[in-house]
Amino acid sequence: MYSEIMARVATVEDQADVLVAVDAIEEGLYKTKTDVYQQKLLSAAKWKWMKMVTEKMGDGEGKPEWLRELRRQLKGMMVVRLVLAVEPTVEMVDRIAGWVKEKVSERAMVEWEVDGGLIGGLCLSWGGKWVDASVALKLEEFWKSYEWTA
Amino acid sequence: MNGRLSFGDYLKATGEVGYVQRVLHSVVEVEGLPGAAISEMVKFEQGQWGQITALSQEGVEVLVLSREPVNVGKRVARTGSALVVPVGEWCLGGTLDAMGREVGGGGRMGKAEGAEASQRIVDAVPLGIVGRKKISRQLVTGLAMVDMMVPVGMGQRELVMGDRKTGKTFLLWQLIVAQARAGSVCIYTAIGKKRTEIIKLGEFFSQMGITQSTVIVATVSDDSAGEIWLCPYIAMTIAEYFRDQGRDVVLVLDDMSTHAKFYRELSLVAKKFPGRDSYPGDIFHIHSKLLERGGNFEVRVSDSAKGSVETKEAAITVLPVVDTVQGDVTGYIQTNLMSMTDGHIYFDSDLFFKGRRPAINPFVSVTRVGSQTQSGLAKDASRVLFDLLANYEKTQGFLRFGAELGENSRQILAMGDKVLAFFDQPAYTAVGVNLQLVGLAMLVAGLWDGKNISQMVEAYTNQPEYTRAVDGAVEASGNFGQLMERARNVSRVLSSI
Repeated sequence: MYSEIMARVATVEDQADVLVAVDAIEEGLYKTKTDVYQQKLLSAAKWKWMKMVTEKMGDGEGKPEWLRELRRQLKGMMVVRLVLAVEPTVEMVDRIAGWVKEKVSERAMVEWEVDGGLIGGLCLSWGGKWVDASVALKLEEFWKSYEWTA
Repeated sequence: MNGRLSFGDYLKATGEVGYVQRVLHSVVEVEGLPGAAISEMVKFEQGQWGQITALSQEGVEVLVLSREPVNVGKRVARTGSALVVPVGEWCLGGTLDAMGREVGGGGRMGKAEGAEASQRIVDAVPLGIVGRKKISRQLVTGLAMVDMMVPVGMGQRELVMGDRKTGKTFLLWQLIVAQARAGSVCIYTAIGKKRTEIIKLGEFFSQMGITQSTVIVATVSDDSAGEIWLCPYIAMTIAEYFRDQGRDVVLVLDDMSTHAKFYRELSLVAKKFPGRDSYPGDIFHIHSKLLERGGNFEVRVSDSAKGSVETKEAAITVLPVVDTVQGDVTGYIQTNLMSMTDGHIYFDSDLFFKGRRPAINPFVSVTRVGSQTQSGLAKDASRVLFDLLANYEKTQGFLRFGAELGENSRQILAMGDKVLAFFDQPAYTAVGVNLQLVGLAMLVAGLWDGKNISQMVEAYTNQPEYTRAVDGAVEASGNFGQLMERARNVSRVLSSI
């Protein structure tokens, strides 16, 4: 059940949305802050997650425990950080996230930032490892190895 | 660790990255860096340096060695090397910070680069027993009271303790002047001091003409806690460089109570379990691993001009300073340091306020190996001095009750006053050991009142006839009685000049 939700969490923004949705559901369970529930519904993205979590949660006993475990698992998800040369489109982020889920882990998600200095390509880091697949590095290596002739 | 490599270079070289998760003052929690090792240096994306102090499953704990703040979310790269410090002859005459860089960027290192600039690991393992020699040479401070009653040997670790403003700094400055003039390298470590104090120290060295034999390693109170903590280790590393060049080094650590306080701050921030007075459990180790690097050593020095390798004796004499509060010598840090040094010179605030200079209490001070560096004659003189002062103190005790004093007591008090006048030397006038002995002999023989010692020092320095008389008297005397007899001749020579 948890894995189905986590398989859909592609970015750290998704993770934040799910956590907000979990909070709202939990508050709804205890009826502590009724207005909060309404406020959470304002965001369509969060609503999507809320619906999914509610469906997976089911109607049985032990909902609070189930939500607590979901929150714990979400917080334990692996972050794959990307540095891109240009601002990615939504499709591009989806494609990258799909690749990350396939190649790294089902429980991995993407966090990205833009650095124009890369020129092209990307830098990738996860689990403390760093991979530089940028055009800037390729060019730097090229100029270092280039034999200057008169 | 190389100052020229950028953050990106390190990232590329190690292929590992970390991200700052939490910033707790000078301690930073970093996620990632799976291959990191304890004590390894790291570089932050914003240019700051740090040292890894603890490892966990998720990441590492880093001590930031920079005043500039580190931000959450920034990247961190491993350097693959331990903390090193640049060393060389260029250090002499310089004021260095806690990373071994010249304060104000005078470019001394740059000028020496290639020729003699080298780097040494800061967290070095001390030389073992095989590389050490028995302490056999006296470190002459030029202060009669210290040299005669609490002698310090070359390579000894002698704690200097006392309340604030009781003359500890005066002793240290006097000692540095005497030792620098005698050819030793003197390193003054200012731990979390005021900027003005460090400037004043530099000016003092310059006035005394000893700049080229001194190094100041300084951190000011607004430096990061990490830098202040690191400061004495950097100074010790520089001292080891000069030792390996076959030179004697005097290392002053001013002061270790401040050092302990900064380490306590770091430890509490890093959530280390607090112990007595909230100091962490490893505070003893932190200080003892530093002090055990001092001593008298046998080093092999290569002479590139001659193409030969020579074995020499070179010492690192360590003089840590510790403040006491209202004369309490039973404090945690004070007793720790007393147990890891070879004695202590205690400055008594009561004596200071009575007007005694230097305000050293010889009965509370201890020297464990210093006496073995003294000649038989000097030991004899020391015994005489202790007897004289002990009688003086005892007789003074009677004075308080308003007792009428007999002739004998009056003589004891008069002699004690003379001895104290003899000890109250003019500032920065170093009195040689032979002159100290002859002076005391003249004093006890009733040939001198203990005043105007500068006249004797001047005659000893400039009048060869007097120098010969003093040195001859000391050489020819086997005990203090014989020296007293010969002191008459010396006194005659002095009055004839």
